[in-house]
Amino acid sequence: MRTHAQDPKNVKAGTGRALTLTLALFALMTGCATTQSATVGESDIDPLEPVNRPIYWANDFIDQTIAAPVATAYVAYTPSPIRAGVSNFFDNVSYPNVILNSFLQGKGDQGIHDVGRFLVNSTFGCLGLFDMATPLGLYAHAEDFGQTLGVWGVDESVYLMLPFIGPNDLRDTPNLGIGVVTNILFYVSNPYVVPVAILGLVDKRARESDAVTFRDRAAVEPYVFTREAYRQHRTFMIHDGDPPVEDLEDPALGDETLTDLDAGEDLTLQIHTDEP
Amino acid sequence: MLGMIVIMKRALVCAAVFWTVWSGGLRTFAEDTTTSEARAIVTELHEALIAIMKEGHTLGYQGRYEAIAPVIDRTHDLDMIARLVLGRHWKGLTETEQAGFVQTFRELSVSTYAGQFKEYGDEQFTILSEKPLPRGNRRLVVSRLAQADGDHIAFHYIVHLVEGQWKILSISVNGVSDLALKRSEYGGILEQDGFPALLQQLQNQIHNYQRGM
Repeated sequence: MRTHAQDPKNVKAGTGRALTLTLALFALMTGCATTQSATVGESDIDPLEPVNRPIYWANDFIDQTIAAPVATAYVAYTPSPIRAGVSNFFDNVSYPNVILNSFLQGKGDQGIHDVGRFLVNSTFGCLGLFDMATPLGLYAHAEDFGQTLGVWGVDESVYLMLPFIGPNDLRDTPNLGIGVVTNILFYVSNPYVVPVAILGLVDKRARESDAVTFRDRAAVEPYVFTREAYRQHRTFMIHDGDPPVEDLEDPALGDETLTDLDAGEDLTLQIHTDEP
Repeated sequence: MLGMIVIMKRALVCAAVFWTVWSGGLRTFAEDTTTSEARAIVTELHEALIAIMKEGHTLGYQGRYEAIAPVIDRTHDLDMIARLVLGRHWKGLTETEQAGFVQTFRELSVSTYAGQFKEYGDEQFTILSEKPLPRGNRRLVVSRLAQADGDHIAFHYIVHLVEGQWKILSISVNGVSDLALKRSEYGGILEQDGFPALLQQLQNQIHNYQRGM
């Protein structure tokens, strides 16, 4: 993905390379944020599977050889309170994206609440290092532009596995850019922003370690597991944690059912169909 | 004569009203009872999980397995879950294969609980709500696992009434359905590599849990 600021013609000398790298890093961070919740879909949602699969394995190789060891070392050698502060800081600098999308989804009260949370943590919370808002009842929300498009009725369209970023879909890709330009660090012209952004990546990966470990244990087909988990979790997010109740039947069965045993009939397998 | 007919009509109306109220009351009572039973089955699972987490290191994998297995059998409709997981592929299997799959699936389910729930970090389950679902005798039980760091994980259970007992059919964690995940995974393996390969992979997974991997 190439953003406007990544185009060399649009990047000023001096801070140009730093900005470019920062953008790339934040694009990665945004993607990493979704990695933990990947889901699997049916083949019609994944027409690019022949391309997606090699990218998945390449991402996994990079993760296992670079990101995972770095994250493990970070957790091992960094005291928990410091890691919590780092996580708070990066959550706070990216929080304007939540505010924007709360309003875009028509959640006015929540948006005002989110503004309050951002202001409290940015000031009393020492630039977001401490979460002073939660004890005041200003709880964190999780919104992004992909969810906003979902609320507006846009469907996921096509599942994507993006290099370095991870699982995504056409509905969620615009958020990669919006996540960058709504991040406070995007507007900081200082070379130190680069190591800070790298720290942000390490923090994200460290927070996802449990999810990755769970996937490695539970998945017999990791690519499919990741795709379906991503799709289902995004639906869960779009519906603010109250998604439509899943249909337990295999959609491919059509009118046939395997569960018409609820009424307490004979427990032997029954296949029902409306067809003569 | 006309007076008798009117009296009889009134008596019939009264009887009808009485019957309606009485049967309605009974139905309400029955619903209340079954509601608490549906919730109780989820609570039983939660309490058993917390118990094996608290004693995780002392029990070891085998101890956790033996402690949780009867609870899983009591609280889950594993036969039906196994069928739903295979979906359209279920009827393509022989009866022997179906039985073999159900047995391996049960072992994997218990192994997964024994392998994943092995440490306790002050987690607490709370049941948030319960509601009937339109189809069949099913209810949705929503609960939350509060972690020590303040994060919450949402658990959605679909339970159904089978032979007079409520049993779990599906569990979604933060919106991700274990049943749907497995259906997608297993379906792909069945189509590409066949049933023996699927069974072998599930057995490998069970062995991995046994070895603590």
